[in-house]
Amino acid sequence: MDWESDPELIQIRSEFIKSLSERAVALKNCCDTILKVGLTDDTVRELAFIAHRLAGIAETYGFSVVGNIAEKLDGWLSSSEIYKQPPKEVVRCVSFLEEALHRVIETESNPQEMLEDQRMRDLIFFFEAIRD
Amino acid sequence: MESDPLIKKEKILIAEDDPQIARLVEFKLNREGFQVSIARNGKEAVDQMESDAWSLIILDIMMPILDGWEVLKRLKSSSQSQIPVLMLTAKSYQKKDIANAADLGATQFLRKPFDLSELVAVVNSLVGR
Repeated sequence: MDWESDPELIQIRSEFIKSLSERAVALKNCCDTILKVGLTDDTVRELAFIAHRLAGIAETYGFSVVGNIAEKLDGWLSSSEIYKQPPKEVVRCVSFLEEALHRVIETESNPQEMLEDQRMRDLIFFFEAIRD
Repeated sequence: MESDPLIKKEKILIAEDDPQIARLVEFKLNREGFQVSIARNGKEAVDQMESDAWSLIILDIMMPILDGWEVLKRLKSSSQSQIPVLMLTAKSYQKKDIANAADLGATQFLRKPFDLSELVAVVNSLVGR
């Protein structure tokens, strides 16, 4: 895909990146709710929905790191294991996805460096655990 | 006299509620010479199914109002049951879900996230290009 010079593609990608701001705000609001009242079905469902959507599309737009984080988070949030976690731990991992979205918004590039973050390793660990 | 470029274009209906996916797929398939319409939910897809001669329906599973499974069931029990259906599934879908969908009459599956060239290859094969 010619993301750099095709004017229509540049416009489509720009709209996608713009949509990430709304998703980042929604993630932040969910984290605030969790810190106030703990994990609720509604909040977990909303987070899983956002993560599921990003897992399905971010890589196609060239942001595989966001897709990768979202996929792990989606799997984790969609399992009953999530309710066994301390709310702060959930917020820490959701904030990681929020941070990835902000990096894409700011740099318009794939934040490869985030794959080395401890939170990525934690998400992979949680994800693998629920698959076993 | 120039021929109308629309005459021979195969028509594809995309049922997908995520505007960012729908827009990108529409763009790519338009560039490949297809005529594309978008349904934003399952009900719109069912309404549009009967309204035109589609060469292919691309169907997302997770949609509001009617999900992809229900749309597939309705399509296969309608007069349009011969239209091939490409189902877009999440990576997390299990083999048994895919087997169930195949039983319901889905022609092929593509897991999200997909590469657009992969999508085009699958679409071309399903419309017989």
